[in-house]
Amino acid sequence: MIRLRDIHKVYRDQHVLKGIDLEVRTGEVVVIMGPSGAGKSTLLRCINFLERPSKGTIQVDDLVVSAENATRKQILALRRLTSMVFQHYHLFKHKTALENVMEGLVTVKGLSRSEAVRISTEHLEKVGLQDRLHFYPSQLSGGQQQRVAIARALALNPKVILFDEPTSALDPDLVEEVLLVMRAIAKEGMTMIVVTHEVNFAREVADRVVVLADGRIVDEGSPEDVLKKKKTTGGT
Amino acid sequence: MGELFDWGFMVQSFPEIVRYLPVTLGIAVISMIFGLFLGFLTALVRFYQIPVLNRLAVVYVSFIRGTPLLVQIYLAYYGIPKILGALNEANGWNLNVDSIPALFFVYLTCSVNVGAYLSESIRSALLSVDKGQIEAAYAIGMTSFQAMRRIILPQALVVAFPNFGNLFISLVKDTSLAFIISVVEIMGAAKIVGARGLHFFEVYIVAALIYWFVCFLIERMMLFAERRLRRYEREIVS
Repeated sequence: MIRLRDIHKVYRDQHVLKGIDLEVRTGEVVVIMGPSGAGKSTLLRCINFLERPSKGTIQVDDLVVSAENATRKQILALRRLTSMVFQHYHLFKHKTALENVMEGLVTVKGLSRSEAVRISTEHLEKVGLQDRLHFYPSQLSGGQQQRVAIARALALNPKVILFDEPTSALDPDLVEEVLLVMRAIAKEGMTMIVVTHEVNFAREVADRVVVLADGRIVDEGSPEDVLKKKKTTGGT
Repeated sequence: MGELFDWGFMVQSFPEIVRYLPVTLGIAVISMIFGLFLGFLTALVRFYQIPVLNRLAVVYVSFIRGTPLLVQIYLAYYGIPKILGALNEANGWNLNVDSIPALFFVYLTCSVNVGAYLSESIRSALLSVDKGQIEAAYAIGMTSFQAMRRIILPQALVVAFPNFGNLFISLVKDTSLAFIISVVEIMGAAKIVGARGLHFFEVYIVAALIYWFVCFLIERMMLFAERRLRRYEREIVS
């Protein structure tokens, strides 16, 4: 369970998030939509403290971290409960697909190499890349790289995976292979918070759609309700 | 004596001069090792912008880059014994400042000198690693030390490596300044041998050929190593 309470983010002169309250149940898929500049990515990045919120608390299961007095240890603990998939994949360029997935297991979780190889291979198979284990990111297409990134996030067995516009940087013909993997993960009961513009994905997969505008949640509900309203009001 | 060029003397002098190649290489290799250590620390201080130390690092690099190595060698050679002497008197110590070998000052100056240049190339290499990968490392729960060791450094070193090669080649040539404080290396040996028969042109040709050959070898080795290091950047069109 993820619970965000009154999350604010202020850059020098910009109030990007103006008090976000959001609760995500275990196994729930929440899609965050809204115009660019609404603060969607910032909100997602606040959850694992890649951006430090200016105010508010973040709770993942029993771990409660408040922005004002978060310690380094708490932030580390929070990040170890969460995983993130980035718009531009951000694979480790000097490591093969397999090593990318293994990295967190070995360095962060302290698993043995053989154990890490086993788990990583399993997850790369799950995203359909069993024949690309020893390829470097530079040798993979964007869609393949993003699937490696998803395997990397998944392998850590997180409480929630945060997807930050995972298909926005992809060629149109590569989008579907990534969405396919995400649907499969959702079906397995992974808790997911997804920032995306893919309306179809939201409609089919999301349990709930949250619409952000100008740093506030302006609408929230089932995909049918929210997307229908958006259509009639002409929002994107 | 009337001839322009004494082949016999040149051939004869070669073994006498090349005998000091280990001194030259010794200065270069030892200074490079300490320089890498110093350069790396300095680069980290600047990369993480550690207060106070960051300022000192900026001044250090600026001073080394803004003054000739020749001047730096003299400053160390004449300055350090003086400072130690003053400390001796002030504290009643009994350090023998005159027993410090000249070679020590060369090691010291060259290390500090190349360290400054190395720090700049290491720093820019650290900065060249894509910020997104660092975020990805943090996102999977790495500490900043782990991210540095596992993600940033391995890639930064590949970027900095060609620079290391160039700086090492410069360093090998810079060691030729050591003779001014009477350290006998290739250049010093050439001077001594040349003075014997006033055949300076010949001995300096020998010196030049030795430096050239050594630097050529280093360049080849660096190129070879670089290709191996960069294997992950190769793209395969499949």
